Amino acid sequence: MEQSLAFRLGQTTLGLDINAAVEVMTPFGVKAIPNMPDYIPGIMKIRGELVPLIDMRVRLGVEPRPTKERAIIVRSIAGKVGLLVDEVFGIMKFDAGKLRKPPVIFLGLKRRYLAGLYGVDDDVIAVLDMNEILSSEEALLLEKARKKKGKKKGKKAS
Amino acid sequence: MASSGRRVTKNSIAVSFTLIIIFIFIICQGPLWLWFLFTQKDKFGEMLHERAQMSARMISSVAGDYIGDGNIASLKKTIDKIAEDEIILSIKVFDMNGVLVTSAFSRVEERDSASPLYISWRNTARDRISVGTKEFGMVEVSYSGAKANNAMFWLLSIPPIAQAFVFALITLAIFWFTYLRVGKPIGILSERLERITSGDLTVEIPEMDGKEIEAIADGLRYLVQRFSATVRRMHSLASNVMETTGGLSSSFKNSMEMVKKQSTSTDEIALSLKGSLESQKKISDSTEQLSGISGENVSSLMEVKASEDEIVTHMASLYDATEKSYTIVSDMVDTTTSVNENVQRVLASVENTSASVEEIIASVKEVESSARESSRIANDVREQAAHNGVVTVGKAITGMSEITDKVTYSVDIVGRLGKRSDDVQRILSVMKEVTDQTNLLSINASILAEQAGEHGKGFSVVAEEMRELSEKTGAYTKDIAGIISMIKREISDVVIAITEGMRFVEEGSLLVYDVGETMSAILEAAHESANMTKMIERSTESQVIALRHVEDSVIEVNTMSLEMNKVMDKLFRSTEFILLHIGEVKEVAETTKQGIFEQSEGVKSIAQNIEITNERVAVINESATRQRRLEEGLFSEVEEIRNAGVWILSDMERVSNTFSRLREDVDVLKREMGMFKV
Repeated sequence: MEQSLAFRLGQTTLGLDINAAVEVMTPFGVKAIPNMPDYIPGIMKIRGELVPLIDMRVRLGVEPRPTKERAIIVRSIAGKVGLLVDEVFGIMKFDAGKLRKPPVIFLGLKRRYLAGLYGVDDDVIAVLDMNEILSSEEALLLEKARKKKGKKKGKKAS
Repeated sequence: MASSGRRVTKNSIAVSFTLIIIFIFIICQGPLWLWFLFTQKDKFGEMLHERAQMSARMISSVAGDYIGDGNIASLKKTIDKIAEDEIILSIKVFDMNGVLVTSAFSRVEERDSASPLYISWRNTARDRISVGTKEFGMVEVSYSGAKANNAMFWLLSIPPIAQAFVFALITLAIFWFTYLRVGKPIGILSERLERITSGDLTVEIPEMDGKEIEAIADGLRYLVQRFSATVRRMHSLASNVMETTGGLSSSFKNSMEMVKKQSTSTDEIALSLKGSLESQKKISDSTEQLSGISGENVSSLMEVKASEDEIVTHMASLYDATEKSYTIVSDMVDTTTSVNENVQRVLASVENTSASVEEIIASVKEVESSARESSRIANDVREQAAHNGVVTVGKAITGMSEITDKVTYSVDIVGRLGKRSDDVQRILSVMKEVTDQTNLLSINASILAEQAGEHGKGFSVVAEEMRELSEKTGAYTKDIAGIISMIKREISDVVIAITEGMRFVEEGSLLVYDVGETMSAILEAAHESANMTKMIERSTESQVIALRHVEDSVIEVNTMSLEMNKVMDKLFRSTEFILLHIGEVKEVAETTKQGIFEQSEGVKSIAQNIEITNERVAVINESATRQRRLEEGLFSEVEEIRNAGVWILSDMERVSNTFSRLREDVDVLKREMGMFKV
């Protein structure tokens, strides 16, 4: 049995590999960074560590319906990254063998981000492929954002 | 006629143009040809001679050796060979002594020609035969110009023929071009022109190409149209003039007849005027006589009238005196009667006054009593208003202010309640945050538990419990929030209702104030009316006293009037007696006056009548004289009219003649116009 962290984006329920997740929190003190694409709204400081944020609603092309906002902090090739989602449900268990590939036309999501789909009760949960979500290029971009913020702080301190 | 005209035009332009061009060509070609002929002729002659000379030189160069050797046969052979040349007629070789050594002849026939165009038919070239300085004889070569003439013939005849052919082609081209572009349009135009000249203006000028031709065609069309319009106008004008002159002529004839008639009637008028003049003279004479007789009549009548007038004036003065005394007496009677009547009237009115004074007294008394009553009522009202109304209103006002206070207090309480619920809401939001945080914590705990694997299993149970707790708390918080917001809504409704109530209470107290004010106004009014009625009471009392005085004096007047009435009766009777007697005297005087007046009037009217007659006679005389003068003038004028009539007649005859000539002229013009078809 596999485990995934279930969350909501608009009207869609999505899953995330539990081993990638670090913690869930309400975003606070988000600082905007200039010259960044739409889906990177800014950077957040958690316990002295700079974590860039990715707005998943923009990134996956899901229509935003922000009721309450949550940030899922995940480990990635670019270090810790915060994913902005609408709501986090909790941990869900599923059979890895029942994970099916998504059909050609699947909701409003971009198909290549999905590892597969599985059914829980009436709902269908789309499990995200973390490696696809962050390309190496974007990882670089995030690193740059983190450095920019760090430099700024360093300058301020000096 | 038209077709021949077209041909003529075509020939005249296209052909003559072509002919002129050919003529110019020939004129230019002739001298050129002649010059060419003569120069070429000389050149050919020289060329022939040179050729013959060449042959002679060839023979002479070999002939010396042959003659020196005595080899005459070889010489002959050579000569024969050379003589084969077609231009050479004969070759003769002579020795030093001029003796013919040998000769050769070609087969060409010898011919003579005298034409100057030809190169001389026969000619001879000579050369001496010599070897070194030694002479052996002479060579004589005679040649013919036939060959050159043939060449000349071809040279001079072929180029002109070729040129003539080219000329013909050019001429044809020019002729065709000229005919097509100029001759044909001009032919058409000239044909149309001919038709126009013959009087047919209905001809249509076709559209044409080419600048000049087009301009000509357009111009011609415009002219024809204009001319046609003008001819049409002239035609109609001519017919109009014809008609008019015809009408004029006939009316002139009528006028002439009328004038003739007038003339005869003027004669008649003159005659009758003469008669009337004579009779007028007679009337004038007899009126003058009548006038004389009338004048005498008038003077005698005037005397009678004067004496009559004197009588009338005396009579009138007598009558006037009687009339005056009568009028005085009758005036007296009238006055007495009227005095009497007045006394009677005074009596009646005194009685009436007495009665109405009584009535007034009665009504004044009524007024007095009712004034007293109303004074009492007003006092009552005042007391009532003062004691009940004002006190009640005061109570109402205090009640109202109490209500206002109470309502304000309850609004305060409700407001505080609202604030309390706000506080509750704030607490709820804090609770919600706590719940959210707990939820997050539980999720994070479960993540950690999962990642810890087997060791974290117990921890995961705790995390699950935490999650459930947070969910439940969340649900309760939501419920409480709902209830609180409902309470808040209700409170705001209550506040609105109370505010509305407050407004009503304020309005009510305002109304009560108004009532209080009205009450005091009523009080004042009641007081005033009580005062007024009292005043009325007082004045009616004094009125009654005054009226009693009036009543007394009326009774006094009444007694005095009765006495006066008696005295007046007596006076009236005596005056009536006098009047009766004077009336009789007046009647007699009047009759007398009437008679005298009538007589006088009769005389006056006779005199007037005679005067009027006289005046009329004078007027008749004057008017007869004037009429005579007028008639004399009229007679002379009639004479003048007669003379004028004769003149007019002769003038009219002249005009009539002119008209008939004009008609003839116009007729001719019309016939001329008729020639043009339009």
